[in-house]
Amino acid sequence: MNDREYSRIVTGFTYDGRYLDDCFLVCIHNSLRNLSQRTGIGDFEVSQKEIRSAAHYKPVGYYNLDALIRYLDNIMGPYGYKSRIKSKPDMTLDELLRILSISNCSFPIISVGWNYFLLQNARLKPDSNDPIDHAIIVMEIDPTGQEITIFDPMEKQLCKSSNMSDFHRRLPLPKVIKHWERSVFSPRWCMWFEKRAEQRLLEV
Amino acid sequence: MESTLRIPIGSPEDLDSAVEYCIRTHLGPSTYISKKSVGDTERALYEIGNSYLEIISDAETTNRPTLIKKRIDNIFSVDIVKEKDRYAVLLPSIDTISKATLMRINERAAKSETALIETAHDRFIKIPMVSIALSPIFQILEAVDSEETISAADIHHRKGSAKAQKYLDFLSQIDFLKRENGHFVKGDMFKRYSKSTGDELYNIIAARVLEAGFEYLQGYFHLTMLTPYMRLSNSYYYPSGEFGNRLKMDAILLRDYEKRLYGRFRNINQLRAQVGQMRRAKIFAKDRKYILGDSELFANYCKAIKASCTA
Repeated sequence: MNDREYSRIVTGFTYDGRYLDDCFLVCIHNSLRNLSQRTGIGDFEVSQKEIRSAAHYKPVGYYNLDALIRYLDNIMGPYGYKSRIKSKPDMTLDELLRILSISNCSFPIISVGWNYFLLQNARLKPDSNDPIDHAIIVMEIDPTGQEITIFDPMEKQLCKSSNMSDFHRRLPLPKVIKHWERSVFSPRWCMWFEKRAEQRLLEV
Repeated sequence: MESTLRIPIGSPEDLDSAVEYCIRTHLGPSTYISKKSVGDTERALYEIGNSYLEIISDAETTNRPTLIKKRIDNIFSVDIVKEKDRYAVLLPSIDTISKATLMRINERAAKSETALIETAHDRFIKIPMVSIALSPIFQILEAVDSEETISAADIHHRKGSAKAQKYLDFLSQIDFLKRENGHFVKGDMFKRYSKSTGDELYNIIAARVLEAGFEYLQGYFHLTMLTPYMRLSNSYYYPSGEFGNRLKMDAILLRDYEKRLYGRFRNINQLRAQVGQMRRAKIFAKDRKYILGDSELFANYCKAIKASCTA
């Protein structure tokens, strides 16, 4: 994925707001927006406001992911799509590669531990591994398996705060996996939307 | 809306993990168990906390964002009740816990304001506008100093005798005046500093008045000219304290911090003028390039914050 293609895909993506507390919701919105564009199903483009409302979002970082998933499944069900969540041990790198290779899957959203921000050259205070997670979208893993391309909903805020000019959208895969393993939410937590297998068979 | 989830009965460790998973999926991924009150076999109570991130900006820092992770322990509790073959997990409403969290965050900012007043009251009174705001108090203290005894009728406040009575009552509450036979005389605090003379005496008194009653002066007397200076200094010292070092800010960054803390977007020229006054009062250092806190004040402020957290 070159820079131009990356920019084309993320055009219209939203970013974290004032409280930096809704990265999961922002990632879900963006992932659905992209899926909507790829499939041509307009109903998948659910606004950020609608997502927040369905998740009962309130600051700081409070939302019901379970309620949101039920809401989205109701929208996507008639089209044969469903939300999927997996974590360790069911979630593996191979599974991540599978999701990325299928056009009927959305971009996967993964949860990474706090130290992920070290990959963005951030200074962390305190540096302990307290419970807090961050969500990013995986957009591509290069064929050599060395590099991963991500969308980080905090990119704008991080850049703005420090005159940072070289935000790392491409990162070494092993390092990202290390932080994925340390997700507090659940190690190797991953969420995506996928067309159900039986639905795909019917189409064939 | 409150809700109840049901989870299978397993080992105590399984219960901890199950509760953690419930709160993270139903209330927010950054919630965590901050304390477990050991109940009997039929009940358990978990105290729940929440973490959140803040980006700290520094005008001089380039290419390295700083993220601060903040924890608030024991914001709300989750009750676990054993049923026939399952545990019922009683979750509070998101609306309720969000309000409780925002209140705790605001309390931190308020604690910081208090620490600033404690450590910088003698500097605040050197700001001309603050000194003007305190002039009715000076008038009363000057009158009682020369006349030994005064009444509300002796104080001609432009807003009337009711306002004058309020000032007299306030000064009595903080022991600068004492009521005697329907009149007011010097209180213990006034007497304590009366060996000082002239401007020095009034500076000490004004600083003590500010220290004792900033909230009161601001809220009760509507002395709103004090507020912008307090907020600006807190918008600088609060994030610097969290960062653990004096941040270098420019006017735009300070304005952003104030917006974050108080939700108000100030006129930049007005802000620059107020910063200038605060530099002269030694609330900010005389740095030409950046808005920088005074090193001595910052050290004292950090001590006061630490003391208030352990109190």
